[in-house]
Amino acid sequence: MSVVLDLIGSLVVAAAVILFGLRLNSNISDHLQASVATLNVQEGLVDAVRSIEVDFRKIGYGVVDPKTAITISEPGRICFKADIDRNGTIDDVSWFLVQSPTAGGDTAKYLYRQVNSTSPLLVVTDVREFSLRYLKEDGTPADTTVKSQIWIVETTMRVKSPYKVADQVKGNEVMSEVEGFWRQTRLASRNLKRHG
Amino acid sequence: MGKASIIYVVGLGVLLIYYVFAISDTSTRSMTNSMEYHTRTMAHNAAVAGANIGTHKVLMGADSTLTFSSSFGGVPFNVAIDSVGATRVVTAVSSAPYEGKLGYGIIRDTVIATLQRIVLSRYAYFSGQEANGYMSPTSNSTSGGSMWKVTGDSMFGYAHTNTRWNLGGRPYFDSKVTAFNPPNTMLYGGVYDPIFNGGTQWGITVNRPQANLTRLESIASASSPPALVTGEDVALTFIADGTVQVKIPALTGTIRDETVPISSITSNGIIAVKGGDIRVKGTYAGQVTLTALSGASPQKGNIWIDGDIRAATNPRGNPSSNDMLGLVAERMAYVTTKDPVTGTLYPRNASSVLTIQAAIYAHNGVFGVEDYDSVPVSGRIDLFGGVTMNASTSTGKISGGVLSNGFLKSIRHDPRFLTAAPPGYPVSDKFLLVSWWEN
Repeated sequence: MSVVLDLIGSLVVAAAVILFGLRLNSNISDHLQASVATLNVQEGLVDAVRSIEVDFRKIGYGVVDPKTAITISEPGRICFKADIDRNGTIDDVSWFLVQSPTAGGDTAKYLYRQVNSTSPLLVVTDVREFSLRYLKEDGTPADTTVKSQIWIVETTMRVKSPYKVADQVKGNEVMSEVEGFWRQTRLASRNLKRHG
Repeated sequence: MGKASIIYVVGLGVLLIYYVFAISDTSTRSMTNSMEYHTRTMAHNAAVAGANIGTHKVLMGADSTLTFSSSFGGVPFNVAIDSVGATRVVTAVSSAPYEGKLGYGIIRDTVIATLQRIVLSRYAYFSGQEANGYMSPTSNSTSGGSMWKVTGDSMFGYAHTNTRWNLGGRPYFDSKVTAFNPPNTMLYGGVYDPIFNGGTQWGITVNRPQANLTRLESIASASSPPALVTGEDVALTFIADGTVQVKIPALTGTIRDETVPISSITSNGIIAVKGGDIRVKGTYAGQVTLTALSGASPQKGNIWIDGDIRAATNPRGNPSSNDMLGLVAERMAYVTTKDPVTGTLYPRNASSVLTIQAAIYAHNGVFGVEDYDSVPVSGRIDLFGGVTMNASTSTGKISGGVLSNGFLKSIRHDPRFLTAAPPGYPVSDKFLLVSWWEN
């Protein structure tokens, strides 16, 4: 009888240990998945941000009259002139958002960069937010119909992972996308300021 | 059971080790990513700081070739200032050590600033001071009263004064406005709200060296044949085919009265008169600068605009037009209102338009209208180019809100003058930042 009791007891303990191990495995796996997703979002965001910074700092470079450098100034789209590759020719550069073709009901979009009439280059996918605010020299909002008022571009970008992961509890959802957020509040090209 | 437990424990251990390594790796990569961005930003900021210091040195007068090194935020940078003709190029290079995904390395950043001497034709409106500097043809005294820009006044192109603006109501400035001091302000119609679409900057002084005039005299003298006339007034009537009627003296032509190609009287584009005035009108083709110098005669050195002055290829509709005219007066640039021989008033009325397509420079005086406060209403001056003056003035007299004498005026800057200028046009001894390259 005692042998049977020993077997039953050891089975219970073994089952508990196995379940504990499986749960540990599952938790660590989820955490790893979330970490990788976070890293991917971060790397994508940093690459996109670097491209934006490099481009926006050149707004108006080589343009004779800097107040004509920005040609389109919309909340989700900017077009400007600059000799972006220092070859003596003024280029037309655009940054804009396009609805993701595979997003379905998702709010994510694609961020594109286009130089002159070349094909738009996909910079980053799964963009939740790409918003531009145009400011005057004193930091107050510029009248975007008067391009010469624009001295500063405040850029905000929010990027998400393409899939949901655990460890990202939001409200009642036990799984959600990882998000990365970046805002450059005072990104200004000296070429816009230099005139006068 | 014993073996199974061992296998289970070992298997679980192996999985845990894998997870720990994997999580550690993602954390490291994430940190590396962050560090790389931080290092890149620091390197960029250091390069910008170096370029700022170098630019400041050039703007403050240290315009010779120079190199120096320093650091910003712990990141070292080297700056080189190079002279390329009248251009100064400031190159700042920073280098920040970094250990990232690909191992140890240096992140470098470069900022290049280009500065050029300020050519005064780049201004739509430039005044040494915002006071009335009108001088009559027979006296060098001025009233010196304050000149105000008020509601209804507008400027298209860069505007500068070396003192301070006097602003009331809602004057409109389309491009950047600069001055040495912040403006005097006045409620006009109960409002003070000037519109600065291109922003403002105070603390700016732009010198106009007298040496510009002696340089122009030298260039005219060096022309083949020499294009420097001394002690006589000269009248030039330009013709659209590239010729010009030359009359010396201006009113009689007894010394010279002929029509010749512009190129046959100046080989370098400068025509100068010393101790005399220049009277000018017509349609010019090519690039010419007319210079009137006072010499030993204090009331000489004037430019008289006797009628419309137009470019053969209209730059207003054709920015690629090669026709440019500079009018440089050591004393005054007048719009003529009376026939210089008979003294009778030119027949003008409220709807008359006097067209001038030129860059006008008055070193000691202003661009004004002969007897502006006593001649009848004469219409409007339509200046497409720019004006640089020692002071300000009015081209007409306003009574009760309407023009009672003289002209209204409209000044529109010729955008070609942002990168080009009539031959030998006056420059400042100061530099201007013309481009700023950041990686």
